[in-house]
Amino acid sequence: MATITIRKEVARLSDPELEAIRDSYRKMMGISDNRGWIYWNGIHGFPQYKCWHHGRVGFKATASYNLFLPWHRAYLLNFENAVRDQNDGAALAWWDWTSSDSHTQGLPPQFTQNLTGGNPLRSGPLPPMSGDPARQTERAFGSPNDLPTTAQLESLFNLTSFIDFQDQLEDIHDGIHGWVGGDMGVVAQAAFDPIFWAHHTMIDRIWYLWQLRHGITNVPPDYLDFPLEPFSLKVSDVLNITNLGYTYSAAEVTVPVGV
Amino acid sequence: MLAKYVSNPVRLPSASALGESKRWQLVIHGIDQSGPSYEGRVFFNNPQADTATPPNVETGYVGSFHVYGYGLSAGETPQLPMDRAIDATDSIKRELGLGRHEVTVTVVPISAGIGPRQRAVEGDLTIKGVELFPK
Repeated sequence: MATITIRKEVARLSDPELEAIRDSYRKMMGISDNRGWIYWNGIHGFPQYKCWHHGRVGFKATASYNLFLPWHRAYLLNFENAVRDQNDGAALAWWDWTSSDSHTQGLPPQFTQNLTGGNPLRSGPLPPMSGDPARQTERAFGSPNDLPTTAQLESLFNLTSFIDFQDQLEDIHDGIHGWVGGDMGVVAQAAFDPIFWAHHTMIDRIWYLWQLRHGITNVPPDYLDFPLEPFSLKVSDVLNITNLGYTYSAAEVTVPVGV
Repeated sequence: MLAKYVSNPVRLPSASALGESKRWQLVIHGIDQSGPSYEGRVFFNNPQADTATPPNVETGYVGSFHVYGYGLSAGETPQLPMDRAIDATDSIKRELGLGRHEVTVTVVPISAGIGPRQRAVEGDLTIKGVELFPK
């Protein structure tokens, strides 16, 4: 029987759920082949640079297209499968940077705590690049007051055009990368920081909530056949998250569905 | 730290043209994404604006956009330059109300924090140009 993975907010994870993520990340960080941390996080930026951010020309097109949301959904899905290969109790969880906790303390404490034996959510291994030796990722985060607000999200949910919604959500997304700073602040290294996945799970969830309001298939028709390389998926394959085998648990924030 | 960008004067729409559309956008063309990340704070008619300038009406603040830079070194493959649009309707109305018919556009980069083992990036902010148009 098919199972559905339920993604939860980091702040609402039980101790066993949090430990399952830590266990999986810890194992991935110790693997040097294509099941490991360096391989999976090297797809986004260095060395593979497969990610989509803002417009670029691709696939039979001369105009600029932006596959930011579909590409990252495919990436999250494939990464989550790799995470669950190491610990099948693990699932991606989102960091709600609009929450009152985030506006008080910044990053979730689960991602900043020092633990005996190390905390794999605090930092991840970064491969040698641009003449610099391998090291652990670093952050240089800003003031919690500068994080996006629920009012900003509400204004996004009112947008009816996918293009406008994606463009404005991507700007907020960009700001979070800069807010965390350090390695999260640049495309080349960002995915090696474990908070990247909690941030992008939040972005994917926001798209899902927008889809509930404005339609699952609400993307420009000429986007549907774009391949999401290097994954064996195209845009039309990633529109319905239930078909992909996961969903998002309810959160504190209620978003009106339908107009 | 990146240096700011100051445009040549840009013609404002006339009051009658302004009324023909509900919103007007300021589009910043050709923003380089290959370097560091930053918030770009945009000001009208304030070429002296810097990182300490408060983002409010009195300083000509229009809005801001964010750049998630690739963090590439010189010589590495550049990405497609991006365009960003911000709503400038209220700022245009204010400038017209002050009797102005053109504005300079200043973009002040507020750099993202860098880690202790990362290198700070110096240089000019690379922007191709700015344009006002109705949405």
